[in-house]
Amino acid sequence: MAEREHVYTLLEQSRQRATMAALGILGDRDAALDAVQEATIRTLKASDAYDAAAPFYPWFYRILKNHCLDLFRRRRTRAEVRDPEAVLDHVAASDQTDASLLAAERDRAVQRAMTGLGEAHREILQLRHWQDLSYEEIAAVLEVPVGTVMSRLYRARRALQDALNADPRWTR
Amino acid sequence: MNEHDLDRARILMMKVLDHCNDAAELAEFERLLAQDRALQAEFLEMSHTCDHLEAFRTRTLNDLSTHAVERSSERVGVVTAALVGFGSLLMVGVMLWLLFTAPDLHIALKIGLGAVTAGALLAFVKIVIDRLRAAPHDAYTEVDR
Repeated sequence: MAEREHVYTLLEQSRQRATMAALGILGDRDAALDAVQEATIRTLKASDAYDAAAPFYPWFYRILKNHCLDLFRRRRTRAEVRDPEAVLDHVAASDQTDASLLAAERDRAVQRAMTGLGEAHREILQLRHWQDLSYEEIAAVLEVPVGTVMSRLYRARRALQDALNADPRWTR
Repeated sequence: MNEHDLDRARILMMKVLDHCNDAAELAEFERLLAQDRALQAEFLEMSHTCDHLEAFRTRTLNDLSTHAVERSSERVGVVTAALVGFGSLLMVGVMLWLLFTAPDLHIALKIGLGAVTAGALLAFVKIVIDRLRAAPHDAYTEVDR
């Protein structure tokens, strides 16, 4: 059992990574921000069920992910929300220097490669790079040992690298 | 390098890329790396990609933060417009009622003031509606001020 205020503090601390997680699934900024808000409310309502001895983020991430997947299924617009260019256009649009245009082109290449990966590879890469989770946190989310996280991460990065190397628009 | 060493080198590579290695692991990784050119090449390209992913995360978080503020400001704008509209309608309604029920005011003045007030209100409502309709098509909204 956990105090609601304590859960609220943990939610505030998890907001950035949660938004990145939602963006990774939904591919849309407004939808991601709304999903995090809704998941926050659901988490607060269910705060009595949270065991304070367990790590918080994996529990919150499960609620958020389920909500995002529900939204995703309801919208039935996988092609639209998974459009890699759409996820990144707004990031590139705000800054138009040569360096940022190059970075934006690389972002698109990475996003295309990520989209082409299997769900397991994509999820572990997003947990590590988008949500900035430690190995221990990833292990708690995926419910696997830390050693398995490292070997899965290697395979996912290898798959991402192979996809990038096969993309003629990927520049180093 | 045998398969066991290669597996170990890959695990250490992950730790080094994620900056969660200790000094002994770094030394062990450097020793294994020195023995294998293919591993060196893989480490270089993965380092590059990880650096890019890190930079991408920072850019996306900055963008999300700016977008959240803009979105919040837009929502405040809509609430403000709704409050001003409701308040204006209420005030004008009450004013017109007081005007038309005033016993010692000339009928021409009642009609004139009523018409001017209703006209001003209609013009105000039209401007607000036009502005709200045009907002989604505003050009250059992404340009930094």
